[in-house]
Amino acid sequence: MPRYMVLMHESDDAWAKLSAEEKQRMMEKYFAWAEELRRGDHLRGGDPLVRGGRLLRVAGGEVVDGPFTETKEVLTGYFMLEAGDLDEAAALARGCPALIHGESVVVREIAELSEDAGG
Amino acid sequence: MTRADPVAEHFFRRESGRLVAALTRALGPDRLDLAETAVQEAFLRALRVWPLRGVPDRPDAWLYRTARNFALDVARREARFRDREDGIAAELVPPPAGDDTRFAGELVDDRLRLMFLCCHPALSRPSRVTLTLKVAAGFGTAEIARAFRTTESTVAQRIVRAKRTLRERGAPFELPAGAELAGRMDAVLDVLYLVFSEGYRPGSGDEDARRDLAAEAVRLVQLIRRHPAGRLPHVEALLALMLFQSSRLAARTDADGALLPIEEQDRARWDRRAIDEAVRALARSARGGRLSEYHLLAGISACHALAPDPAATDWERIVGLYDELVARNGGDLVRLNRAVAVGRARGPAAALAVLGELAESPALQTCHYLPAARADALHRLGRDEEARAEWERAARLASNGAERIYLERRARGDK
Repeated sequence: MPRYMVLMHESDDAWAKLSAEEKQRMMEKYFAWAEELRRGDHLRGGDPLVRGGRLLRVAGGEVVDGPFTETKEVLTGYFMLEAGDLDEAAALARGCPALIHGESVVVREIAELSEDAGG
Repeated sequence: MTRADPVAEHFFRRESGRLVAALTRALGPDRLDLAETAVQEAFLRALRVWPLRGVPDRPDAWLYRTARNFALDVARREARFRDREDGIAAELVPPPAGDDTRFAGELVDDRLRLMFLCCHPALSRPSRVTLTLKVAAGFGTAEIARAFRTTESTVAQRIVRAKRTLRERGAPFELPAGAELAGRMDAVLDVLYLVFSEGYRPGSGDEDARRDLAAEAVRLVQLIRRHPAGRLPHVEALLALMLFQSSRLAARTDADGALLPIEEQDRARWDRRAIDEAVRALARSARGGRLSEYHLLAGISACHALAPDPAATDWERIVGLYDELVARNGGDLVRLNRAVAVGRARGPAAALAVLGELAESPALQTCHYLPAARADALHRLGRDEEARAEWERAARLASNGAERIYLERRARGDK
């Protein structure tokens, strides 16, 4: 079954505006969503991403380090799902609570290299 | 990393104040923003990690580690940008060894410092209230705006300005020493009582938001009294007052949503545990020479809470306590409350006489208390037509629904 990345992006400070109580209610939604994915055997992992990082690029023929500036759309974390097709993956991602607390969610299929190699 | 169940109720709110306090100690008060951001970040990561891998055995320590590491990273990065690698990062006091276990204990000291910072004398009263709720109690700008009937942007601006003022003044993260402590403690108690009163005020606005305000104010006073600097008679008296009043929350409205006066409440619905705790706090408050206004108000509340039925209420004692309050704070609302107590103790004619003295009070012209009190006394004198007219007037002036429902009912002559 194809695997999909659910990539969560934050674009404003909506999260910071929520009260501690609202954040906790949001966590309960994440628990419920994860449970639902597990029941359907869709959940394959996920991690939050630490803010900041390094930007490596080539300038003047040399690899230079940074400076890393956070873009307007910050990648905050990902979940990995298994689903029959992109439509199903997108339907599952619709339940992602990140959407409720003001983030956008991108669903991308992971290219399975073994199949490409004809294996 | 094993618990699968979601965390306890109010866990984030409880942790929010503790985490911000601990980080502000480490980072310094001028980095209050960074402390808050780090705590936001730790909560966000918890949301993404715990549902997948389970709640850690020590979720509080997990949050603290995560927030602390985030703050350290930010501080290091800033130091690098400013080309002083050893600057802030070195200044950032590392947490003491074994901080996870230390953090398990109540960091009461840090939490108190945070409250004192939020109630700094350079800030206006509304700013103190807002900052305390946001920073020390984990409330959101929207919740604060709802509870105080203002806009979210007003709340947000107030927070930004208050933090700027604290930075400009170089407000320290410490408990004031010596003679300054008493005055600063009074400012903190004043803010907490204001938060409580706003939460306890019935009827208008978002009920849940208000109940949370009242509960949080009680919790913060309980926290203060656990600290050596907070074991003061008037802290105990304030706690007693808040608990006596809280004990009646469930009983003060009826099925129609009408706000019932104390004598019409079903006393079986009063929260006995809160009353017992209040009585213990009141007993502790008696150790000490100073009789604060909180003592007097708690004493009045106790007279109601401890009377098995309305007829058993010691109204003469209540009048005496109001006399003392009037002598200290001659506000017309206090005098009005005293008049009502006089009516119960010495009869409705006595009440009408005292109320007559308040008839021209500018402070009482726009609220319903005065006509409602007159209506009650007239009704007890059998002057029902006049009583109804006063109740109608009161109902028109009542600013919140729960009180209006009750007053309109009385104006119709229903009981």
